[in-house]
Amino acid sequence: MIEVDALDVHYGDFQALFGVSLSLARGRALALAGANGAGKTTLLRALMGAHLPSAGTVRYEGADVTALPPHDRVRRGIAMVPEGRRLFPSLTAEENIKVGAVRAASPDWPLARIYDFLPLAATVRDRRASALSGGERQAVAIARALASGPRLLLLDEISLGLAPGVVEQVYEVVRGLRESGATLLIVEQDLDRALGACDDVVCLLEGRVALTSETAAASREDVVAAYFGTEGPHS
Amino acid sequence: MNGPSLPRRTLLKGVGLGALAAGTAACGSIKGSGDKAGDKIVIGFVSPQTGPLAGFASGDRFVVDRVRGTAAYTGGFAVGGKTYDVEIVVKDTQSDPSRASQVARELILRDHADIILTSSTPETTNPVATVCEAQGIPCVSTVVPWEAWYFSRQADPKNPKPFTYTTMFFFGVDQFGGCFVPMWERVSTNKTVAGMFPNDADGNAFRDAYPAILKKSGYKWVDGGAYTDGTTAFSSMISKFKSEECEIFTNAPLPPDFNTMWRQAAQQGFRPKLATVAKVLLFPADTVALGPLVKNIATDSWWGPYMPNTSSLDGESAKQLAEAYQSASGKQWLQTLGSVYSLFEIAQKAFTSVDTPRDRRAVATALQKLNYSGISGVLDFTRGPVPGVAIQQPVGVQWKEGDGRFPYEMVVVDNSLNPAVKIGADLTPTNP
Amino acid sequence: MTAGTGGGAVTAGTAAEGRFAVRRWSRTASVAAAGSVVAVAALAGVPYYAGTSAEQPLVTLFCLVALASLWNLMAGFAGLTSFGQQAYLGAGAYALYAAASMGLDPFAAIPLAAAAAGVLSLPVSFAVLRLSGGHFAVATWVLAEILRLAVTLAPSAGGNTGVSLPGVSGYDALLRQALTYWWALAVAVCSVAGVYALARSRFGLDARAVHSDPVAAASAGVAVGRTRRWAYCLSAFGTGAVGAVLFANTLYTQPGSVFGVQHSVAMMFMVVIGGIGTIEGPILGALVFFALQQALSGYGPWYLVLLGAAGIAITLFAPRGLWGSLAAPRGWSLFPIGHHISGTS
Repeated sequence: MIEVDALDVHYGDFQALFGVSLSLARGRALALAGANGAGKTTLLRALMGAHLPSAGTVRYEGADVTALPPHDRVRRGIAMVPEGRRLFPSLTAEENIKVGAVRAASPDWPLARIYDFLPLAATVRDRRASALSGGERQAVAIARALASGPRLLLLDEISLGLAPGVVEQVYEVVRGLRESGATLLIVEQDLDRALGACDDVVCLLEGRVALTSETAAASREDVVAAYFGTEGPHS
Repeated sequence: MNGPSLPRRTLLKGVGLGALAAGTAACGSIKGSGDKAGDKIVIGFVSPQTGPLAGFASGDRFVVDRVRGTAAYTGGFAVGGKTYDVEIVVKDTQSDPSRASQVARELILRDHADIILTSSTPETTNPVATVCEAQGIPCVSTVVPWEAWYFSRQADPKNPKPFTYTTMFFFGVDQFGGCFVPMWERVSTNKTVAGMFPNDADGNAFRDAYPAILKKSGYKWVDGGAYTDGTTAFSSMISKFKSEECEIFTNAPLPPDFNTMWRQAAQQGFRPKLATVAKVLLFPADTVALGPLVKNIATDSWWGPYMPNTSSLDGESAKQLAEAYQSASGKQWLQTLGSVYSLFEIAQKAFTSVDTPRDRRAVATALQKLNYSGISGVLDFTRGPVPGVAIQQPVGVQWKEGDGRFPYEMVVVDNSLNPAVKIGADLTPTNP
Repeated sequence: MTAGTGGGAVTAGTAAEGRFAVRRWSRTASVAAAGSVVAVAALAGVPYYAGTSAEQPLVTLFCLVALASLWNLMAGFAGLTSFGQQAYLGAGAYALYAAASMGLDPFAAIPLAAAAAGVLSLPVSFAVLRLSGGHFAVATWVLAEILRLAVTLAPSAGGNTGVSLPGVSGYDALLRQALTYWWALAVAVCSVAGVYALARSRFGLDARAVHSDPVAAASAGVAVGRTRRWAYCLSAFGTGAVGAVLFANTLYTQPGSVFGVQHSVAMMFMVVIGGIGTIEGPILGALVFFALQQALSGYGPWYLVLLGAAGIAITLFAPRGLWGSLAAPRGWSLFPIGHHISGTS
């Protein structure tokens, strides 16, 4: 489905990713783990086209999409739920979702199905996004991504800042997405939750891949060691 | 006002009525600004009383008051057996051409002006004359080279058409040449002339016409290049003049640009034997900024107390008008006093030679046919280079140290074009 | 930003109510639309019943309404704060001069002049839209200055002195003024109606998303560059038409004046005090600006000081503009732009 090969990403003089490679097969879910600043969000932004890599390639469904602008990737079936939701505050919830449907890659997610799948989004559809609670915003952000009919969904820190009960609801949605056959790439601070929800795990350490494994084959200790590095400087 | 019906207008009525599908317009003709009540003639006057061109117009208010006080104006104009009161409405352009166009439209639409008089630079007169020509309002301009006034307003300058409603009096490039060349002849030089001409209407008019005049008289022409008004760096132009060894200098810039250029020329050691400038140092106020650098710079003068002319309104002489201004304002006389005064002489002549002041076409025709003698001397609109233009004959003057009342004053040094004016002093080289 | 909720057009939301088709229209909007049609018809008749003294100020007002609406299309919807729209005012004016010099009827050439400004804006957009925020604003301003200098240095365009509009001498003065008036009215109506139609369309939603968060909009599938380009070029097109109409009205144009940055300041003033991102706001802003201009112009240079003070007062006490502060709390919306489509219909 998506293959990343030797990706370098710079922010000006600062290099955020060093030769990152990973691949994800159709219908599987991959957890992207790593400490703050390890490069997880940078990698997702490179996959989405929001920040172009300085070297390496991204292949999606067999085609090289490394330099494609974000809206073309959306049309090919990649969608992202960005960190911090990033809803359009002046638009209503439903308008936010309609923006996602601008160039739907497939008719798989009409508004009716989205509202059935995410009842929370349906209840707030006419409220301004700026007036929504964290859980409601997350529901609308997922709905907005689904509205584009994606085959690959990038989820960035979807539980961050949510109450535990709400996190549970969000992961209920993730499970539902997996059942619907979507391919997922999940960035998640909560390691146990990420490992529990995914088939594969890639751990980033200071911009480099420190571990690639199936979640079943890697012990939690392996992942934690990769997460902090051998010296374990982070607390 | 309902002008003569034109086919185009009839067509437009249809268009207009189409737009009013709701049928709000039962009446079928476009309305004007309403007829004027009363027996009053309104004269609009437009000049740059504030802003960078204000030097031209510093005597305008005085002249308007002086004219208002003449018997011809206080008693009203007798037109077609009826006497009309005269009202003069004064507007300031703030030296902005767009504003000039706007105040001209205000004069026509709000004040119902019967004629518009305008003075000082194409930036003032051209927008005003354009509006008047389009609106069919008689208009007289002055203190603008006639070429810049005439050709700049043509749709096709190569195939010019005379104007119907707009007329002017002043002079043009030929008279500058006729005034300057005799002065150059009296100083022994290498006959190389430096030209400083900006890229505006005046500058371009000079640039087009000067080379031919110079060639005819055997002078070599060095163009400093078409710079933009407001330029502050003239080094490359000055270097060019120096490397070409120019000994005569002439120009037509905006006054502040000349001040900048002339200071830089002094610093860089460009000291032409004779400087004959146009459009700058026309007025005493301009000399203050340059101080001693102004001494013996020559320019043209189309009016001054040395002119043997008298007012056609009340017989006042040029000398009396200049002295009246000096005692009223405490400031030195300036050339536009006579020009602006003559605008009002012309308005009075034109209105008193028609049957009704409301017949604009007749007033415009009267202007085109005018030939009279007033405070600016003889102004003959029938024999200009193009219809509607009367040519004045300027004399050559130099700025020389005054008798104590004012630091510098204009003294006539050459009367080749206008021998009636007495010479006041010998021509002295600007930089001996 | 009041763009999101067209008050009367929105049903307070629960999922159950949502089953009914969500409205994008309201009775208020119908009344406003009908009122607008009547008002425009009445205004179209002014040359027949009111005459030139009424036409002149209205031409100025119409041009202000059009300029404010067009600036709002960029700033209020696409998030592009331009300081250089005077470039297209001048482009429209000088394109009209060029067309009229070639013998075309000046009034028939106004659409051509607008098109010329629109065409010019396309290559420009590729350069300036690479920038954002303050850099974009400065770049657009610099562009306008470059155009001003280019015209100043072109003797065939009259240089710094400016040019008169050729080809109007054949017109009867009253007819010419009436034609100018109708053009000004048409440009204002088309600008407001055009921006309104755009705002209600797919494009409007895209533009508002881009304004809100360009990165998130791109990730949600909006072609950010194209959306901004459309807003920029359409705004330039309309501004070019205004430039041509202003030239036809004054009959004289000069680079220092038509390319002056004061035009952008006026546009920003009108949009900000009226209410950015709404249809009503720029119209209200233009009316206020016009009224202030008329009332304060007698105070000479103090006019600008008073205008600035009025602007500061309004931004302090009504940060969403006059319309935003008046309408939002009361749920008014004469021209709703909200986009709500029922998913359960």
